[in-house]
Amino acid sequence: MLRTHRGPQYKTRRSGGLVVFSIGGRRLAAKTEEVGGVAPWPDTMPVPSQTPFVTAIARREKDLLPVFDLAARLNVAVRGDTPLCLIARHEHGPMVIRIDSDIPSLRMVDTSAVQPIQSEDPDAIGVFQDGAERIPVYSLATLGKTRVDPRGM
Amino acid sequence: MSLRGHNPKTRRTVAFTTSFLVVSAGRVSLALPADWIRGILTPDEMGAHERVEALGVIYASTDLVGRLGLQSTDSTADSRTILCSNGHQHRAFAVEQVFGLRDVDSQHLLPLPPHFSGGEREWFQGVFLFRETAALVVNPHWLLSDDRSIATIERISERRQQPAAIEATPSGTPSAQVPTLLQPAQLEDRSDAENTPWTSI
Repeated sequence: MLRTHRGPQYKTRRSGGLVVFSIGGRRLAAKTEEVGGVAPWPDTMPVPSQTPFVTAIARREKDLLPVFDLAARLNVAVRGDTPLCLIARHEHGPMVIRIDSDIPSLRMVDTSAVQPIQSEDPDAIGVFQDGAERIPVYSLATLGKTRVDPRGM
Repeated sequence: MSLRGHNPKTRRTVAFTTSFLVVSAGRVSLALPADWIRGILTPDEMGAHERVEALGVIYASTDLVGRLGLQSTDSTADSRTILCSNGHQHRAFAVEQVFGLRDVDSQHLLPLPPHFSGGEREWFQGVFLFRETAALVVNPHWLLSDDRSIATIERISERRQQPAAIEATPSGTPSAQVPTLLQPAQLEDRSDAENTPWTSI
């Protein structure tokens, strides 16, 4: 069998999936490999905490997962009567984030479509263009790892 | 033990249970190790006193809700004052409600998730499933420690020195009588930490 030689014109295109969701009407995105799922918002209990934005615990069946208040971090309020639960695959273990009731969507984009972002938010790792809108991409795996001023972004 | 020694297949994991007094404070369920509890007082028994005497021991009232940075609520008929002691430190804490005793199997005691990385890792030893959510296991050593070692988010800028000695009674007279512990309230003893089915999502 003759092997096809891949000439210089051949380019390897890589694409990845992004989950686009909204918090307080603001659209954000995260890599699909960092999203463990979306579910109705479960029962939660506040936890006295000195860890910024990690202030509650949520019960999903027999699992207890920490709650990261990304809305407070962004200085917005979650919208909708039936907020959703975004399960983040954090490096310390699963964590849940309360998001708007709008069902998140999936985008398949070229990795080159995610551009570096100049932002004061250390958890925002890039931005991609969705039509006329620039949507920041957040790293859920390391969310909260870098301390941010609790007074908001 | 045979000549071959112990067979790993026959090795058994020893499980143990711990009794906790589960209470509500600042709308948070807290679990206190039962063997540190010396008594429970009703609002009438405690009155407005800042210390209470029980069996010759004086318990100083400490604001647990404030130490945890929680929102305090008004006293109701369900409110109670919990007397805690380790033999040489004695404190009294007001709580909103006493749920009762729970025996929790060691395999059901979960560590606080590592996402919590602040002072709460000293305040709480772990967590277990309780009713619809969970109960936080309070570290009894921290619970009885000096208030000056505590710093909550709201109180970091407001921390003030408190005397180690017992605070004066409301009357301002050092020799004023303090209420003596009466019969402790009867507790409901439950053997299962999960007494209600969790709600389906």
